[in-house]
Amino acid sequence: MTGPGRLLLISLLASACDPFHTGFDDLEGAVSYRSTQRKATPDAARPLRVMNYNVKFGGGRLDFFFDCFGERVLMQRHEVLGNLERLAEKINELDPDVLVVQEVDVNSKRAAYIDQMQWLLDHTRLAYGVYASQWKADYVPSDGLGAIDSGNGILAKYPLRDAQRIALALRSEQSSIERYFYLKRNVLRARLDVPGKQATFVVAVHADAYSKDGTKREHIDRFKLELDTLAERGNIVVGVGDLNTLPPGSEQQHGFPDSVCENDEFVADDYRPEAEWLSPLYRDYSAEIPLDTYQADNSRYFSHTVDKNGFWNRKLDYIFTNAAVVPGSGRVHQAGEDGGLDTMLLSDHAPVTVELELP
Amino acid sequence: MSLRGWAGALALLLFAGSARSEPSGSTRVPPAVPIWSGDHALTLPPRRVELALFGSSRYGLSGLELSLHPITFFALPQLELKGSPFAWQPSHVSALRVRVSYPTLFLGLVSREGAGGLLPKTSAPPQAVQVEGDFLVTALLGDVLRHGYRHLATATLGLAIAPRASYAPSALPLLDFPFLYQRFAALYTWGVPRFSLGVTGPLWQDRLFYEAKARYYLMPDLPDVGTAFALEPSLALEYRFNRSIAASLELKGSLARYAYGTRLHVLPFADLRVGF
Repeated sequence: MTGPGRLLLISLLASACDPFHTGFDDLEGAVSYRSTQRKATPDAARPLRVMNYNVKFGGGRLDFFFDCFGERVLMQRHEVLGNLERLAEKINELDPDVLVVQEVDVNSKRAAYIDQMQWLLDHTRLAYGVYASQWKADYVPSDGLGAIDSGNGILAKYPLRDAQRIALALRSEQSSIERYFYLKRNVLRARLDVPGKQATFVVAVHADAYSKDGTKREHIDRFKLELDTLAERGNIVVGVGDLNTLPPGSEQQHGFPDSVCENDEFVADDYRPEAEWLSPLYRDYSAEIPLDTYQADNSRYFSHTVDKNGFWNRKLDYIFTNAAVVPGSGRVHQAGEDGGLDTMLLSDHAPVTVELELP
Repeated sequence: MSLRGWAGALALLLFAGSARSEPSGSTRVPPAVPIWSGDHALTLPPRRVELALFGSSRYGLSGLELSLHPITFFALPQLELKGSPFAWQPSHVSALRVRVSYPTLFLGLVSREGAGGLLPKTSAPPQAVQVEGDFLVTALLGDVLRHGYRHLATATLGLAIAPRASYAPSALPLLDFPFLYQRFAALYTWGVPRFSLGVTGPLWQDRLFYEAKARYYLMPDLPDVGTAFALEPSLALEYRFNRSIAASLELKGSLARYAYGTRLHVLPFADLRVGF
């Protein structure tokens, strides 16, 4: 068979096996990005500021159907751009050297098909990016979602190399057709080249939110395994993610006031069985907010709520590292501290930052 | 396009449907008529009924063929009429095909929460009528005197328009589900021109038949996309047990440009036809 004929046949077979193109390999290269304009690499002498932010696909505080506060499914282009501009303003205000984002959309109907990775690179001081999709389909035939491509991203002022997407376990409690169209989560790993510093790997994850079959724990354990493996090889690791569970010793573990969904599919309201799931991470790594600091005052470090009219009521977002954390540098930006932009209206998560001393 | 513009386009389609020509040396009576319907300019013999399990069902009138889809009719009311007002030529025959449908009901049904929601449940599809017209020319190939027409090669040229009430973009997001995308695109633009090429004929003992065709849709000025296209190739094999029963397998493809890129989707299709 000739080249074009073989290509057509392969395309047909691939299309027939995965008709809506939702699948991933167990291990595949991540998508690389560069800012449109070249930016100068900053001085590596100062501490590395790392920021973690679940940006909710630029949806701001519109009331989406899955939050059960409203019925919104799709956004208009001007709405997405308006929300992205506020996110970029906050990012520039906090000025991270490395930004890890969850729920960043690059080609989704719900976000007017704006490539948010590229947009953020072009509207912040960050220059390099890598992206790994965790939800991709030419069409999700449910709720009017349509085409989707959403996932985890790492953006940095320094070059990112050897980025890989590592597939995480799928939920077993769903039917095969649900699973086919559902999120396929990942660990995104990339090497950060900071001039004159030891090899540093950034590992990003967004663990499952709603599973009740242990999938979330598998995701957290796999994330830690990746950190452990890289650390054992002598690397500096920075593990960043929305782990969708609470720190050990959290005072409130269920019955959150913003849990208004009646559909079990979107309820994540009872963390009691997960009380110790993060203990190994806290035991083996330094956290942006030390555990005893958090346990002394939970509410100061809450980073999530689905109710924009309430206040942050749980901590789901973390940064773990084997590098030295600058004491007291970890912060959860729950409001417009120091006169900055109020974070409550930017996303359903608050950004988290920390400063690290790289050897 | 204004209401006057839509009315003008509709009048043009209807006028084309009523046009006739009778060149010298031609005949109104085909020397051999295929007993089964198809995507060609020939029509079913008068009073022949053809029922399909999944596809459209048809009825032959004198020089006309009526078609509707009984399964989807109550969700997507539609009627198709194919007629050959032109004279038969020894080498080819021409026909016009007009299809009128009411898509508003279907769009409302798929605007729903949960599985099967192709559009958000907050969508409010406008009142609309979709009118599709195609001009078909079929070349008659083969030994007419001994076997009738052995193979039919068909070219079509058509246009879909959808006169509709005005609506806000959020009331009807683009329905870009593969295969439906090109069929409902007229609702979002002034019209969707399309053309196709196809060939059909027997493969083995007048029992096993093939059909290969490709249809191209041009979809100008779609929201989020701009000008897009869709190319639908298909390949079908049909076994005709006798004059009354036929079973087919088909592989359809849709290569189309969407807002998120150009994608190929494949749809296997099986059907059973009963004719009498």
